[in-house]
Amino acid sequence: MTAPPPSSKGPILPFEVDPASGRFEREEAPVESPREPDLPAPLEKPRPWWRRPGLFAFAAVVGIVLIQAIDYLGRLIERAPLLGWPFMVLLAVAVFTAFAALWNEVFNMRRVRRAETLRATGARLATSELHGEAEPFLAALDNQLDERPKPDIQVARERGLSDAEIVVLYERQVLAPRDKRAYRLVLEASRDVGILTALSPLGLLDGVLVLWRTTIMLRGIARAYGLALSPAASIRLLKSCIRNAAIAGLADAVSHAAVEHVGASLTALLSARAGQGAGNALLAGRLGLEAIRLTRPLPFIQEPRPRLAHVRAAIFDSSGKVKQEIG
Amino acid sequence: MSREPGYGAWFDLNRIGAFVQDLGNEVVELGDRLVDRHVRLAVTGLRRSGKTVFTTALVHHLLDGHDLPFVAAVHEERYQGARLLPVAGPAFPFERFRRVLMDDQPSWPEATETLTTLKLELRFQTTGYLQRWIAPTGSLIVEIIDYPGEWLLDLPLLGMDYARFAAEAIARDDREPRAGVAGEWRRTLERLDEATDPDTLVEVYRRYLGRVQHELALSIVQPGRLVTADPDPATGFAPLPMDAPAPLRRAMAERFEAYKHAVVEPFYKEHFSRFDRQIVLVDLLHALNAGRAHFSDCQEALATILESFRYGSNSLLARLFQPHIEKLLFAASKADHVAANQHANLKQLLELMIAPARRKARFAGLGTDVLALAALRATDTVKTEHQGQQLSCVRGRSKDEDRDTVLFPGEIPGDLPEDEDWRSGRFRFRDFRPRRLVPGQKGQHLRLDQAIEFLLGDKLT
Repeated sequence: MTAPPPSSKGPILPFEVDPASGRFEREEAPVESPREPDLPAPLEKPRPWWRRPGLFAFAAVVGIVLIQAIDYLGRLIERAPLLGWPFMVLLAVAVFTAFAALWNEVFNMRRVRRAETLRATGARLATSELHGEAEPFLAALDNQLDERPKPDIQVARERGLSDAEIVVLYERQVLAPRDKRAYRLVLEASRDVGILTALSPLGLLDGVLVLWRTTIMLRGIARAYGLALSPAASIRLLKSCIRNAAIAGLADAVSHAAVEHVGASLTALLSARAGQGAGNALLAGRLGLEAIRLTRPLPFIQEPRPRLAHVRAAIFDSSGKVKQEIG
Repeated sequence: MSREPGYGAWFDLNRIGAFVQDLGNEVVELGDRLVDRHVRLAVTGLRRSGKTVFTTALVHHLLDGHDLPFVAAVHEERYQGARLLPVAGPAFPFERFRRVLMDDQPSWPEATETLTTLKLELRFQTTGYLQRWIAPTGSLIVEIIDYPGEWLLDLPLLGMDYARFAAEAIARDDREPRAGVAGEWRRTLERLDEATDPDTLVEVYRRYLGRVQHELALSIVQPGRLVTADPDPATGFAPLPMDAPAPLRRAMAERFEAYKHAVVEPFYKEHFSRFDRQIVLVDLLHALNAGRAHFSDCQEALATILESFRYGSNSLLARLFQPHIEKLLFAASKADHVAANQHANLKQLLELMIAPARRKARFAGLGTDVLALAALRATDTVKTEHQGQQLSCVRGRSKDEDRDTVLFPGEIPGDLPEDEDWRSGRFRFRDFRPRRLVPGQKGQHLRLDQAIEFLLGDKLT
């Protein structure tokens, strides 16, 4: 073993270690549990509970209603026990269910938030030429997606590929099949919405149908990316999808997406109903693509990003009618 | 049904079926010809930059398509394998090289002395509706030539006359470090007279070039054939100063022209003018080890070589008659000789080094990329503690001393090295012996798959 003279400044000079000395270790993924990786703090910090007046008011109202209900039931039991007790049981069940749902929501929101944090990390790693951060990140993703570690990715690590390369490999091997599944869900939902709204006789029914089918689609897409959404979480997702789709709509007003709508309105000339169906189908398609963007754990790095033009081509036949079969 | 006698022969359904099938085959063939299914890949690099190992590893991995996760066709399970096709001239001795690498005591292939050709047919399932209908199984023929790196530096001679060559060569020979080994050659030049035999002159020049190549390890050695195994002094030439005796200079100029026409031109016409893809392998570590003069020599040599190729995108007609190189990959080879965390710097340094050539290629509309790769990985990255710091080192079998070692070879500068860097002795990159090549084993290369995807990926669809 040759030891170089200690240098206080400048680059470290070359040196050599005797392999028999055992004074080195293989670079391995961190041994500690991959379940709770070191992740950066969430992008926007949620407000602390004491700074939420709305939450306070809501809790106060619920508390008062609850106290009054118990008080009322107590008196009812005194007056007519046969009527009071069943009501009491009913109330207990209702309160318990409400708490369970609330707990579920809170838990779910935390998962969704964690997924958001992961996505931010993923976007950063996708361009990183450094080493060592991809492993805990991908372990957390494997956990979210319920995947086993892929051998090719372990080999990539051993080779010494950079974080960005490993993340690209993960996108290819794990996310690409899920992208296909999610895209298929968008197509199906888009077609359904198109057909259903063309058939439904009432404007109001249209709205309900679109909302119902779109929510199912959103939950399906989220599930494809390893997120089981509770109702509140899916409404939250729907909200941000609509917001983003609206922004995208504004931006697209002069670009090709507008042409897509013109294509749809040509159909409207042929048949008002079918035209409405086509417009709604495209809307559902756009919401679906937005949901993919929002729930996919990584940005689209090398895989092709699904586009509205593709959705349109896939669900409308050449005459502008919604296809019965897609594929 | 149509077999019954009495029906007209032209109505025979079997015959109609056969005709339709024939027509189908014709269409398939026509489709194959129409879609571009032949790639000539230029594996370019100076001497000892790893061309032969790259080609061997490329074929080894493509034969069954194992461990190539970055190749889209392999990843999408469309890749069906490859086979070697017979070639007209001397064939690239792939099997021999592979056997040497699969031996219990593997060693690197010896330096290439002659030109060999390799033809590889790759089979894959096509994508796209039309293609799937025309030809469900696509095949791509990849042609690679392997040649001594010295020959490459002859190519720039094609654009020069003797006067320019002599002036440039003499100016170069006067500079350090070449001047240090040029003693005998300069003394010969000073004693020139009309009676000097050109063959003797060439012989002295050959000895000098040999020292430049082996002692100084410099790249620019012209004429390149003079330093290969058994040179023929009659075909060689040497640069003579303007004040040399005119007949001697004229004789040398004639030899120069003859060499150009008889040796360089056929080499260029038959092989180099017809490439469509190119990978340039650069052994940066060797250049850094050898010091400043070598580094700039290497840089200059690369720039000169790259001027010999035609770059630009191929139109349909150009594809048939005048192919240009349309994809260009610069690769820092032997990247496994430094720790993984140095790859980014290695890549960046190469980017800086080839920036002018790359700019030109970009301007011509080419796709270019830069990679740090190792066709055969000979080391692992390990961590060790040194003066209180965790450092990434490489572990492998040292080539010179033939023993296992854990080495911190110094850090790759992310910028072109300064004076201080050359003096401080901060680079000591060491050669490693190859690891045994095990068929089917994963992790035996570094970014070979990314190189394949960049060079051939678009043709495998």
